[in-house]
Amino acid sequence: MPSAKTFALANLKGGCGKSTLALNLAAGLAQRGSVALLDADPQGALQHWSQWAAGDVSAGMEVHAGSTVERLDELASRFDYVVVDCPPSVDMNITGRFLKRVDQALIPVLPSPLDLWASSSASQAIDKARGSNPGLKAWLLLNQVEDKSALSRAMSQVLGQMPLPILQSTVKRRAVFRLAMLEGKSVYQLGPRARDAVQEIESILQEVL
Amino acid sequence: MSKNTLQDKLKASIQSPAATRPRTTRTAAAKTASESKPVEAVAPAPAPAAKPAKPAEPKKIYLNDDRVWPD
Repeated sequence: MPSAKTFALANLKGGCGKSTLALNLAAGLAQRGSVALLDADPQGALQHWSQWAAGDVSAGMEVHAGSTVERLDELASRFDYVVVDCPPSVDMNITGRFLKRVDQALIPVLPSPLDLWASSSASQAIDKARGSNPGLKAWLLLNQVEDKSALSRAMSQVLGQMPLPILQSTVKRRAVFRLAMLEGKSVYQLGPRARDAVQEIESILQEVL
Repeated sequence: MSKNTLQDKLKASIQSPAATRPRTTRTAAAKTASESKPVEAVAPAPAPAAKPAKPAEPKKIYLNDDRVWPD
Protein backbone atom coordinates (compact mmCIF):
# COMPACT_ATOMS: atom_id res chain seq x y z
CA MET A 1 0.00 0.00 0.00
CA PRO A 2 1.53 3.35 -0.98
CA SER A 3 2.55 5.33 2.06
CA ALA A 4 4.38 8.27 0.54
CA LYS A 5 3.02 11.77 0.38
CA THR A 6 2.38 12.43 -3.28
CA PHE A 7 2.32 15.74 -5.11
CA ALA A 8 1.45 16.62 -8.69
CA LEU A 9 2.62 19.77 -10.43
CA ALA A 10 -0.16 20.23 -12.93
CA ASN A 11 -1.55 22.82 -15.26
CA LEU A 12 -3.41 22.62 -18.52
CA LYS A 13 -1.12 25.27 -19.88
CA GLY A 14 2.50 24.72 -20.74
CA GLY A 15 5.36 27.03 -19.87
CA CYS A 16 4.19 27.93 -16.38
CA GLY A 17 7.19 26.50 -14.55
CA LYS A 18 5.92 23.06 -13.59
CA SER A 19 9.20 21.26 -14.18
CA THR A 20 11.38 23.85 -12.47
CA LEU A 21 9.12 23.90 -9.43
CA ALA A 22 8.81 20.10 -9.37
CA LEU A 23 12.57 19.75 -9.36
CA ASN A 24 13.18 22.31 -6.63
CA LEU A 25 10.28 21.17 -4.46
CA ALA A 26 11.63 17.62 -4.74
CA ALA A 27 15.05 18.91 -3.72
CA GLY A 28 13.45 20.59 -0.71
CA LEU A 29 11.60 17.41 0.23
CA ALA A 30 14.91 15.55 -0.06
CA GLN A 31 16.00 17.51 3.04
CA ARG A 32 13.17 15.73 4.87
CA GLY A 33 13.21 12.20 3.48
CA SER A 34 13.62 10.10 0.35
CA VAL A 35 12.08 11.54 -2.80
CA ALA A 36 11.18 10.21 -6.23
CA LEU A 37 10.68 12.81 -8.93
CA LEU A 38 8.44 11.25 -11.57
CA ASP A 39 8.81 12.88 -14.97
CA ALA A 40 5.48 12.27 -16.71
CA ASP A 41 6.00 14.97 -19.29
CA PRO A 42 6.78 13.51 -22.73
CA GLN A 43 9.23 16.35 -23.24
CA GLY A 44 11.38 14.62 -20.62
CA ALA A 45 13.00 17.83 -19.39
CA LEU A 46 13.69 16.45 -15.92
CA GLN A 47 15.20 13.25 -17.27
CA HIS A 48 17.45 15.40 -19.42
CA TRP A 49 18.33 17.44 -16.34
CA SER A 50 19.18 14.35 -14.29
CA GLN A 51 21.44 13.03 -17.05
CA TRP A 52 23.08 16.44 -17.24
CA ALA A 53 23.42 16.51 -13.47
CA ALA A 54 24.99 13.03 -13.52
CA GLY A 55 25.91 12.24 -9.91
CA ASP A 56 25.10 15.72 -8.70
CA VAL A 57 21.39 15.16 -7.97
CA SER A 58 20.49 15.86 -4.36
CA ALA A 59 21.13 13.02 -1.95
CA GLY A 60 17.96 11.06 -1.28
CA MET A 61 16.37 12.09 -4.56
CA GLU A 62 15.90 9.99 -7.69
CA VAL A 63 14.44 10.99 -11.05
CA HIS A 64 12.24 8.45 -12.81
CA ALA A 65 10.30 8.44 -16.06
CA GLY A 66 6.75 7.22 -16.35
CA SER A 67 3.23 8.31 -17.08
CA THR A 68 1.10 5.70 -15.33
CA VAL A 69 -0.43 5.60 -11.88
CA GLU A 70 1.04 2.12 -11.47
CA ARG A 71 4.48 3.70 -11.72
CA LEU A 72 3.42 6.30 -9.16
CA ASP A 73 2.18 3.59 -6.80
CA GLU A 74 5.38 1.63 -7.18
CA LEU A 75 7.50 4.67 -6.32
CA ALA A 76 5.16 5.62 -3.48
CA SER A 77 5.81 2.25 -1.89
CA ARG A 78 9.57 2.88 -1.81
CA PHE A 79 9.97 6.59 -1.09
CA ASP A 80 8.76 9.05 1.53
CA TYR A 81 7.64 11.57 -1.08
CA VAL A 82 6.79 11.42 -4.78
CA VAL A 83 6.58 14.55 -6.91
CA VAL A 84 4.99 14.17 -10.35
CA ASP A 85 5.79 16.61 -13.13
CA CYS A 86 2.61 16.32 -15.20
CA PRO A 87 2.46 16.96 -18.94
CA PRO A 88 0.74 20.04 -20.32
CA SER A 89 -2.76 20.10 -21.72
CA VAL A 90 -2.17 17.95 -24.78
CA ASP A 91 -1.94 15.01 -22.41
CA MET A 92 -4.80 15.91 -20.11
CA ASN A 93 -5.74 12.24 -19.78
CA ILE A 94 -2.42 11.53 -18.12
CA THR A 95 -2.74 14.54 -15.83
CA GLY A 96 -6.32 13.56 -14.99
CA ARG A 97 -5.24 10.08 -13.93
CA PHE A 98 -2.55 11.45 -11.64
CA LEU A 99 -4.94 13.97 -10.13
CA LYS A 100 -7.21 11.07 -9.20
CA ARG A 101 -4.35 9.46 -7.31
CA VAL A 102 -2.12 12.07 -5.64
CA ASP A 103 -2.59 13.67 -2.24
CA GLN A 104 -1.94 17.22 -3.36
CA ALA A 105 -1.89 19.19 -6.58
CA LEU A 106 0.01 22.41 -7.07
CA ILE A 107 -1.02 24.46 -10.07
CA PRO A 108 1.60 27.03 -11.05
CA VAL A 109 0.14 30.18 -12.57
CA LEU A 110 2.13 32.95 -14.19
CA PRO A 111 1.03 36.56 -13.67
CA SER A 112 -0.52 36.68 -17.10
CA PRO A 113 -4.11 36.72 -18.39
CA LEU A 114 -3.45 33.55 -20.38
CA ASP A 115 -2.61 31.70 -17.19
CA LEU A 116 -5.55 33.22 -15.37
CA TRP A 117 -7.92 31.91 -18.02
CA ALA A 118 -6.26 28.48 -17.98
CA SER A 119 -6.64 28.31 -14.21
CA SER A 120 -10.42 28.16 -14.67
CA SER A 121 -9.97 24.93 -16.62
CA ALA A 122 -7.60 23.64 -13.97
CA SER A 123 -10.27 24.23 -11.37
CA GLN A 124 -12.70 22.12 -13.40
CA ALA A 125 -10.10 19.36 -13.74
CA ILE A 126 -9.62 19.33 -9.97
CA ASP A 127 -13.37 19.12 -9.39
CA LYS A 128 -13.57 16.18 -11.78
CA ALA A 129 -10.67 14.39 -10.09
CA ARG A 130 -12.28 14.84 -6.70
CA GLY A 131 -15.13 12.66 -7.92
CA SER A 132 -12.87 9.66 -7.34
CA ASN A 133 -10.24 11.32 -5.11
CA PRO A 134 -12.29 13.33 -2.61
CA GLY A 135 -9.29 13.98 -0.39
CA LEU A 136 -7.34 15.76 -3.12
CA LYS A 137 -5.95 19.07 -1.90
CA ALA A 138 -5.19 21.60 -4.60
CA TRP A 139 -3.68 25.06 -4.66
CA LEU A 140 -2.84 27.68 -7.18
CA LEU A 141 0.74 28.90 -6.92
CA LEU A 142 1.69 32.26 -8.36
CA ASN A 143 4.99 31.71 -10.12
CA GLN A 144 7.56 34.01 -11.72
CA VAL A 145 6.16 37.07 -9.98
CA GLU A 146 7.85 40.25 -11.11
CA ASP A 147 8.86 42.84 -8.56
CA LYS A 148 7.12 46.19 -8.87
CA SER A 149 4.68 44.82 -11.43
CA ALA A 150 1.14 46.11 -11.05
CA LEU A 151 -0.10 43.18 -13.10
CA SER A 152 1.55 40.65 -10.75
CA ARG A 153 -0.15 42.32 -7.79
CA ALA A 154 -3.49 42.41 -9.55
CA MET A 155 -3.15 38.76 -10.54
CA SER A 156 -2.52 37.83 -6.93
CA GLN A 157 -5.69 39.63 -5.88
CA VAL A 158 -7.83 38.11 -8.60
CA LEU A 159 -6.49 34.58 -8.11
CA GLY A 160 -7.48 34.92 -4.47
CA GLN A 161 -11.07 35.02 -5.61
CA MET A 162 -10.88 31.88 -7.76
CA PRO A 163 -12.59 28.64 -6.67
CA LEU A 164 -9.24 27.02 -5.89
CA PRO A 165 -7.28 28.39 -2.93
CA ILE A 166 -4.01 30.16 -3.64
CA LEU A 167 -0.89 29.60 -1.60
CA GLN A 168 0.32 32.59 0.37
CA SER A 169 3.83 31.75 -0.80
CA THR A 170 4.81 32.98 -4.21
CA VAL A 171 7.86 32.44 -6.36
CA LYS A 172 9.61 35.38 -7.93
CA ARG A 173 11.07 35.39 -11.39
CA ARG A 174 14.72 34.66 -10.66
CA ALA A 175 17.57 33.82 -12.99
CA VAL A 176 18.99 31.53 -10.32
CA PHE A 177 16.28 28.94 -11.01
CA ARG A 178 17.39 28.71 -14.63
CA LEU A 179 21.03 28.86 -13.65
CA ALA A 180 20.57 25.89 -11.34
CA MET A 181 19.11 23.89 -14.23
CA LEU A 182 22.07 24.77 -16.39
CA GLU A 183 24.49 23.65 -13.71
CA GLY A 184 22.64 20.35 -13.26
CA LYS A 185 21.60 21.31 -9.74
CA SER A 186 18.67 22.48 -7.68
CA VAL A 187 18.66 25.87 -6.00
CA TYR A 188 19.51 24.08 -2.73
CA GLN A 189 22.93 23.28 -4.15
CA LEU A 190 23.82 26.80 -5.27
CA GLY A 191 24.76 28.19 -1.89
CA PRO A 192 24.26 31.82 -0.81
CA ARG A 193 23.43 33.11 -4.28
CA ALA A 194 20.19 31.06 -4.20
CA ARG A 195 19.27 31.84 -0.60
CA ASP A 196 16.10 33.77 -1.48
CA ALA A 197 14.98 31.12 -3.97
CA VAL A 198 15.45 28.39 -1.36
CA GLN A 199 13.41 30.42 1.13
CA GLU A 200 10.56 30.61 -1.38
CA ILE A 201 10.60 26.84 -1.95
CA GLU A 202 10.77 26.22 1.80
CA SER A 203 7.84 28.55 2.34
CA ILE A 204 5.76 26.53 -0.13
CA LEU A 205 6.69 23.26 1.54
CA GLN A 206 5.78 24.63 4.97
CA GLU A 207 2.33 25.51 3.65
CA VAL A 208 1.60 22.17 2.01
CA LEU A 209 3.20 19.72 4.46
CA MET B 1 -3.19 52.49 -15.07
CA SER B 2 -4.58 51.98 -11.59
CA LYS B 3 -4.51 48.70 -9.71
CA ASN B 4 -8.29 48.57 -9.59
CA THR B 5 -8.54 48.91 -13.33
CA LEU B 6 -6.17 46.00 -13.85
CA GLN B 7 -8.06 43.85 -11.38
CA ASP B 8 -11.37 44.75 -12.97
CA LYS B 9 -10.09 43.89 -16.40
CA LEU B 10 -8.69 40.57 -15.22
CA LYS B 11 -11.97 39.68 -13.50
CA ALA B 12 -14.01 40.67 -16.50
CA SER B 13 -11.76 38.68 -18.81
CA ILE B 14 -12.51 35.50 -16.84
CA GLN B 15 -16.24 35.97 -16.62
CA SER B 16 -17.17 36.97 -20.13
CA PRO B 17 -14.39 37.73 -22.57
CA ALA B 18 -16.78 38.13 -25.52
CA ALA B 19 -19.03 40.57 -23.70
CA THR B 20 -16.27 42.79 -22.40
CA ARG B 21 -14.02 42.78 -25.44
CA PRO B 22 -16.20 43.82 -28.39
CA ARG B 23 -15.00 42.85 -31.79
CA THR B 24 -14.18 45.89 -33.80
CA THR B 25 -12.75 44.40 -36.93
CA ARG B 26 -15.68 42.27 -38.10
CA THR B 27 -19.35 43.14 -38.43
CA ALA B 28 -22.00 40.77 -37.11
CA ALA B 29 -23.15 40.04 -40.67
CA ALA B 30 -19.64 39.25 -41.83
CA LYS B 31 -19.08 37.00 -38.83
CA THR B 32 -22.33 35.06 -39.47
CA ALA B 33 -21.58 34.67 -43.15
CA SER B 34 -18.05 33.47 -42.61
CA GLU B 35 -18.93 31.09 -39.80
CA SER B 36 -21.86 29.50 -41.66
CA LYS B 37 -19.85 28.95 -44.80
CA PRO B 38 -18.87 25.31 -45.17
CA VAL B 39 -15.21 24.66 -45.30
CA GLU B 40 -14.21 23.17 -48.62
CA ALA B 41 -11.07 21.36 -49.42
CA VAL B 42 -8.91 23.49 -51.58
CA ALA B 43 -7.00 21.70 -54.30
CA PRO B 44 -3.44 22.79 -54.56
CA ALA B 45 -2.89 25.29 -57.31
CA PRO B 46 -1.39 23.75 -60.46
CA ALA B 47 2.19 24.45 -61.00
CA PRO B 48 2.61 27.37 -63.37
CA ALA B 49 3.37 26.34 -66.95
CA ALA B 50 6.84 26.92 -68.14
CA LYS B 51 7.15 30.37 -69.53
CA PRO B 52 7.52 30.27 -73.37
CA ALA B 53 10.76 31.49 -74.62
CA LYS B 54 10.58 35.13 -75.55
CA PRO B 55 10.71 35.51 -79.37
CA ALA B 56 13.60 37.36 -80.70
CA GLU B 57 12.85 41.02 -80.90
CA PRO B 58 12.48 42.19 -84.51
CA LYS B 59 15.12 44.41 -85.75
CA LYS B 60 14.16 48.00 -85.24
CA ILE B 61 14.19 50.27 -88.21
CA TYR B 62 14.67 53.95 -87.88
CA LEU B 63 13.86 55.71 -91.09
CA ASN B 64 15.17 59.02 -89.91
CA ASP B 65 18.09 57.63 -88.15
CA ASP B 66 21.35 56.37 -89.37
CA ARG B 67 21.66 53.57 -86.82
CA VAL B 68 19.85 50.89 -88.84
CA TRP B 69 18.67 51.07 -92.41
CA PRO B 70 16.23 48.66 -94.08
CA ASP B 71 17.91 46.14 -96.30
